[in-house]
Amino acid sequence: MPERWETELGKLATLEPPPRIRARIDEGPRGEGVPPMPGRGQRIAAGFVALSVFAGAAAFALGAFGDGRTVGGGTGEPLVIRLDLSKRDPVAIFEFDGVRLEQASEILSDPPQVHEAFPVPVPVGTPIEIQGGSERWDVMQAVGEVMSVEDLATRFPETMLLDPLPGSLIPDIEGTSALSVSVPEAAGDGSLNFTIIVDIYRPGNGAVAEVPFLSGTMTAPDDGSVPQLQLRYGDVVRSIHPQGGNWLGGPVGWDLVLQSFPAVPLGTQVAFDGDVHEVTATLRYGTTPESPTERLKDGFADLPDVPGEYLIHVTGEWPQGTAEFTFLVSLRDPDALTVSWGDYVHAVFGDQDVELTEIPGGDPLAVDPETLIVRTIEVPERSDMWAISDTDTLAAWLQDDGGSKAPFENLDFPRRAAVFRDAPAGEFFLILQGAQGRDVLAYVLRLRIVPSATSTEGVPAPADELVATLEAPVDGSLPTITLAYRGEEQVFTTCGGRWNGELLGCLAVLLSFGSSLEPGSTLVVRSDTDAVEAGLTVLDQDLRSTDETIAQRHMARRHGGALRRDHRR
Amino acid sequence: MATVERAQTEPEVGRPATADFDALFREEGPRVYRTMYAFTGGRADVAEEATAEAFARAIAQGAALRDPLAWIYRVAFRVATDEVRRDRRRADPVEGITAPPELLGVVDALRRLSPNQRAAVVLHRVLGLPVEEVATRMGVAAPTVRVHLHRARARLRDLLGTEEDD
Repeated sequence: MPERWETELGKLATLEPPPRIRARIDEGPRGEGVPPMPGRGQRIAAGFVALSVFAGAAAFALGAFGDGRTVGGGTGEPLVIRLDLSKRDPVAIFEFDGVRLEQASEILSDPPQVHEAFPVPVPVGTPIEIQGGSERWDVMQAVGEVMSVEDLATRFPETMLLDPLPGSLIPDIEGTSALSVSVPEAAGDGSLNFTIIVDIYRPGNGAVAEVPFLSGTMTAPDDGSVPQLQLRYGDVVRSIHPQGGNWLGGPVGWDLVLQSFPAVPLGTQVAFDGDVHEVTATLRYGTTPESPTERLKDGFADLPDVPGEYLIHVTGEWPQGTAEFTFLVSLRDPDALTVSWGDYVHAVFGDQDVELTEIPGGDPLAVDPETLIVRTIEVPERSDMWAISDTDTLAAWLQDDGGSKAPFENLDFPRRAAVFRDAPAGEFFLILQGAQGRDVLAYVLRLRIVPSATSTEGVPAPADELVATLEAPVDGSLPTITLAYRGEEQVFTTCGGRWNGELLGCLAVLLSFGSSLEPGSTLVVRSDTDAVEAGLTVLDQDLRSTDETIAQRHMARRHGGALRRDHRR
Repeated sequence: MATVERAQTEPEVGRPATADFDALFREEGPRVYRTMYAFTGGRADVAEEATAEAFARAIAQGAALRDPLAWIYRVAFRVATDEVRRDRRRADPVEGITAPPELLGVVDALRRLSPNQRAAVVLHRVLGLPVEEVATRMGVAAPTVRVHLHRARARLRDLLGTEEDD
């Protein structure tokens, strides 16, 4: 059954043009017709005048921003305009930020066609790079212009503001503009024009950017080799090798290595593109063969808005054959806590990755911090929390010390998933319970939800915190670690590692911190290193390691973190 | 599409009889008009002028056109775009928007889409053209059409609902 919006749209089919339209056609064209292309001499003169204007504008801009500075602050990635003039109908392909837009020349779609809006905005200062050409058309003769959209409606292509030579930048004219490239016509004095509409913005001013999408481009190489799939999301680019299909009569070899693309945000749009004749794509909700799948219609779709690991299978068809690609993509909400129940159960938030503890017998009532090692993860107040699972059933909830429960909302989703939004500050147990066949399992994590404004940096340590400061001296000497607890400080030298290319030794003496710590104390690590790994290992009565690590976590640069033991030993 | 195919197979010499364009208008004129009507967000006056101007120019061009219908669509889009662009400077941007009562809802929704989204969704959904053909008519690449279609669908779902009994 069609959806309502489809029904409403279908009503347009009842619309008829007014009868008087026939008489209007018989009157003949009212428009001025196709504007004649300027002659070569006129074009060169126009180019000279316009380049003078551009030079003046550039001089003004440099004067305004100071010597030696370029206009604006683009990322350096060029907007590439690739001219393909070898076809019967020449085209220009505009590429920027992973988006590709092909535009036919106006002279062949006479009169000028509708100008396509480039889907993503372009920052001021972006270099413009023109590539391509042919024997008959020399790209170096191409000239570009950026003009107002209003001018586009009535213009002749006379005002040429940009030179294709290296150094041309998107000018500092914030707003919607037309970007046009003009190439001398091979025969005659006309020119081929390729025009798109672009939104130009100044970085930092808040671009009206559309959400980027994951683009997959498949193009058959000229040398007859099997196409690859180039994936792109923003600045991240990965090539995916074909793992199946049939190319030029021979099978495409299988490679069992699972290829992957780095995590992208929930709900990212994906679009497949290239010179393929047909694309089919399916999405698997998980990595196991029995996971449900869904076809991506027309090779374009929104990926799910539930975090997790997804497999995308893409088949491209060309006259030469088919190529099949499979890759793993992770969907993440970077601001949310995600608890994944797969081969093992772990919670991820930022740089924290903490394994949950299995509750004996799957009985949440058995959660007893005195007998169970429960690890802790910290998230800011108002965070969202996701629980995803491969189990047959899933229940997730927060539980406070008094036993009160706040359940996650279960989602209608092909996989087991639940979400808890807008978490309040406080300390809770996060409990997951699920059935797999006849087994019922449960896992627990201690969740510390801190007020959003809280920061560990520069804040005096509370009495129950053991603060470890690990910093490299500016003189290049070996780092030391300083432990502080309730006003007492002690400095320890390095014990192992590598510094300036040399292996570091370690005294065979176990150094100890003078103070006894209260049960439940928190270890806070502060460091100027790129990454810190900290662990708390249990010793026996003879001070020998038991190889039992209570908690272990990685922390990114300059971020404090906490490890906590909650029971006496 | 049959008319277009006939036009394509005709020798590119001489000028086809006006009667051929009459047939083309009878078959395709209402569809061009509907497309322009939706593309302009209910501007019946612009849709009428764009359609008429496109057919008038096509008749003037005669056999010089390799694909008359595609050409007519491109001209109509161009004329409509220019008209709407000029009208943006007018004090009342909604002047000229007329719609039969049964179309008020869909016209209002279409006006909330971008022009390209409108064009794509009408060519694909109303005229039933495949994506590749929509791309040809709009003069853009097929993936771009898919982007427009996807975003248009999402917007129309929001604006018009999904359930028949909404």
